[in-house]
Amino acid sequence: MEEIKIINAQGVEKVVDEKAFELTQQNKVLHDVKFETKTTTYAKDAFRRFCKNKSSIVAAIIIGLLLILAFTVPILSPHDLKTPHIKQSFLSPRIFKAGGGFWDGTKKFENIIYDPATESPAGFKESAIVKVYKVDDVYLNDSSIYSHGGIFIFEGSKAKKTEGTYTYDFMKHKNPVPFTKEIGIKVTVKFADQSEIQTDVNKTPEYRIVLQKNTETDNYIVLRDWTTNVEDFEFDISAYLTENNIDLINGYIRFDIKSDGISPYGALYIDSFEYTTNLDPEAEENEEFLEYLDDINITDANATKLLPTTAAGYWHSTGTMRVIKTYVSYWTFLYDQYEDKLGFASDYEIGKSVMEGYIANGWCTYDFSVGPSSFVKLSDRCPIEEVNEQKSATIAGNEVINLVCDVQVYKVLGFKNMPHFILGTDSSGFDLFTRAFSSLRTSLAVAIIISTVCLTFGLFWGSISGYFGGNVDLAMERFCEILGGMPWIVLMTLIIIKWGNSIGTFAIASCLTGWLGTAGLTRTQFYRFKGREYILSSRTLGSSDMRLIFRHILPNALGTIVTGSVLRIPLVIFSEATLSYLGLGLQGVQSFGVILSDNQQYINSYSYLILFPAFIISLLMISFNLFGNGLRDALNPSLKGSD
Amino acid sequence: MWKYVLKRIGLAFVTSVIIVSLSFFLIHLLPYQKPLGNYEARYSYYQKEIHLGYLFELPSEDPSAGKLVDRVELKMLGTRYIYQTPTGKQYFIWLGNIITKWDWGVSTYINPGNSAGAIIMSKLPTTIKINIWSVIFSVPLGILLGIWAALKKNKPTDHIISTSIMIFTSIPSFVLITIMMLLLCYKTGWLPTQWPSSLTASTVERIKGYIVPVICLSFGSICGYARGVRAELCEVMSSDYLLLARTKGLTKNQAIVRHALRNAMVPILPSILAEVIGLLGGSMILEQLYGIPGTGKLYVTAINSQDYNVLFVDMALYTLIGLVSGVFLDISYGFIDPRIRMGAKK
Repeated sequence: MEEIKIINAQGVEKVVDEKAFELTQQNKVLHDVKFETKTTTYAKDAFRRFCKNKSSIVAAIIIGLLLILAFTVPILSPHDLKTPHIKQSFLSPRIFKAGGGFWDGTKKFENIIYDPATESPAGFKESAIVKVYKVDDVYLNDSSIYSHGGIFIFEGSKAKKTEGTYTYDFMKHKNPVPFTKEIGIKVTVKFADQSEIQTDVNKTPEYRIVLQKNTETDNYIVLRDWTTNVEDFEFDISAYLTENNIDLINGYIRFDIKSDGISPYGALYIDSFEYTTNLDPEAEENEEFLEYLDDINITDANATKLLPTTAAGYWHSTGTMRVIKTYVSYWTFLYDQYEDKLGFASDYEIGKSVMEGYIANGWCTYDFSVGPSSFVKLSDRCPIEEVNEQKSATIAGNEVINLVCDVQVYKVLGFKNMPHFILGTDSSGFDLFTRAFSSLRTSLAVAIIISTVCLTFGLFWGSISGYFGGNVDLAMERFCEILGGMPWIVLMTLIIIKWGNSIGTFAIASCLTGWLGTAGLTRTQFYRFKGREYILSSRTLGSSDMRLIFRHILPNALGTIVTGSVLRIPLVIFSEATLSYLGLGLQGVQSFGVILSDNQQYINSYSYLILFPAFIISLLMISFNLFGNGLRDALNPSLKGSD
Repeated sequence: MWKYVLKRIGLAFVTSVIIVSLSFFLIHLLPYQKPLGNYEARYSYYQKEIHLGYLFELPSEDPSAGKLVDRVELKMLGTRYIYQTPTGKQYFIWLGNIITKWDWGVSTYINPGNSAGAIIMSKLPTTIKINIWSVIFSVPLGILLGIWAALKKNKPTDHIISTSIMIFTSIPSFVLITIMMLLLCYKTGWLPTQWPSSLTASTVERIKGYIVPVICLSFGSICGYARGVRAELCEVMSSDYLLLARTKGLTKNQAIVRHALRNAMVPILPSILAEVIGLLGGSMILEQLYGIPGTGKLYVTAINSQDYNVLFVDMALYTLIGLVSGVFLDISYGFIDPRIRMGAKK
């Protein structure tokens, strides 16, 4: 029995009996206890740390997506990159239906002059105009081929300045109009208020309107007698004929204007002059007559004035007449380029062999000996709507038959429906989307190959140089220095001049200096680790050089080296693009540099051709850099276990 | 120290001689590029080369004489056969010409008959002018951005600056140039779409012409400087002596200006010097795209037209610039930071 004195925290002395204590593990056998925590490997730890870096994850996903697209798009795409299609060149990018103005294959055109002859802006198809934003009218005081509308002026004596009566009448080719009871013909004249049109007001002259009969000068009926009143005039000729029981008058309406020869001269402002009938405009037998009336009618003063006047004139007079206030329109509109280039086209020439192909497909029937009338469309797949003309010519002894047809161009090109090019097409009609991703595939494949070669050779070189050191290292280092001292572009140039610019040459040239970086890194890592104690102990145990290099030193250096190699990939893509951009690059392959340098000339007119590939390559570069940074942090062994 | 400087310069000289000589042999192993022009013009070019010793002429064909370059038919002298001197012999003649006469050969295509050295010299001023302007803008801007980001470390300002730096360093230069040209020149029409000719354009137009190249060249450097300065300053800011300075009673600004900035600039200043020299080479892509008549564009033209003599001088220039900037970088460390003893033993 022994008593132990202890002093507690308050400094009070206490006496405790020995029996109060007990040896806890006196008779126990202690074994190693297994860790409760999960074991982790280098790779697992690296992966865990990589996953913590959000931006690297996003970058990795983007790279993954681009990779998938690069390898699937060129295979799945229906558009080939071999035969150029000029018909479908320069189509704007399109995803959505035309009309929204955003990514819908339309282009906005501003202030394009309107052409009344085609009833659309000059050089554009009416059917392809999706939306008209704005029509600006500019007035001209004359007739011109691009203007329309306007007011006809019978100006009395302005030109001759002499007193007298002047006549204005209208006969096409001196043929009077055959007025009959049955056709229900009426004449309507609307006058324009001249004070609204011109500031220097001409006085209204004394005038009358007569119905001239049978072109004999004195045989006429006065419809409105001498007056200066310019209210609208209407006269039902057929009713007059019925009233007076006359069957036929071959005649025309005539205006007589008196002029006093004193300024301001009198002038009549005719807004419209129109014959109307109750004839069926659809009936074929009336076509000619109605067309004739149409030419005489002044509904569009500009058009009437522009009619050829050589064949004795249409409207003719003994005084002067002119057209004022015609307007020229400038349209600002959204234009569907797909409809324009691939939509309906008339007068499209199709060769005989192509037509025979359609017939063989069972899409239509056509007999070359009969001609256009024998065309029958059988299937919706048939591009031809109507055959207008069959042309034949003899070239070098062979008869060549061409058919002039109305067609849907996209069907001629082999599309079932109107195609959509997501990123548009370039000057040769290649689909930019397919082209971009097939370039990405080339670039990535080349970059990965070059990167692997450089990594392997660099590792080999750096290991030897770093591990053995001494004179071997000195010699190898000097070699690297000279090779590395030569500017990259110089070396590349020499090789390209020697062997031409193909993808193989580029790969060789890139590999020639590309391994230097990896070799340098590896060498440094070897210097760092080869003096460590664990290497010494392994060597003492009899490890061979190879074992030391591959089992003990290299795994430590791997993180840095792998990261370096990943970051090489965008560098190779970049240098390839740079070379192509300078015109030294690859030929006959799809690559980013080739796309960009091909499309550089369209920078202003078709910016999308530059912007989309530029965006993809930038995205790739940014993603690779972020991914590489994340990888570097994750694979760094000194960060193992830390967060 | 001086011994090290001399050693470095000597080594750089040896390396450049080796590189230039190697390039000489590689280029001269390529098929001989005939000059442009008719027989008389070509013959007068050959005469110069014969005089220099690179070629020799024979009145008749002789298969044992070496590589036949060209056959010229002259009115006065009849047919002459032009042969190449063996490459090894050419090399020594060429080396002799450079050492004794500073003669680098004659252009065959770009400016036939003119000295290649003179052609390079005529292109150099434009490149230098653009690069100097770009340095003037990029150095202060880059350093300021870097300081700003470092002072606001881990705050939104820093994140924005760092992210933009990352993005702009990743975007390839040709994309940046193209987009700049598209935005500033084509779409808005503010600036000329191509480098204005010095002969026809007005002064205002010529000044405007500088904007796009200077912006494009500056972007990369600004990002580089900003990143470097930020990293250095961040490290210095967390060092003990700065804490001591603050403990002694210096305000934050005093501590930063007097202690942190000075030390952070140590690795930055040499790299600025090196880059100024490096920039003299010019950007080939920029010059090509914007139509700037500088050394970079000349290089591309020389490659495409296979004007080897001009190409050669341009190559030598690039090699020299690269080596000199490397030497400068190494040496300036020692001058700027007295703690660093370059080339010192253990």
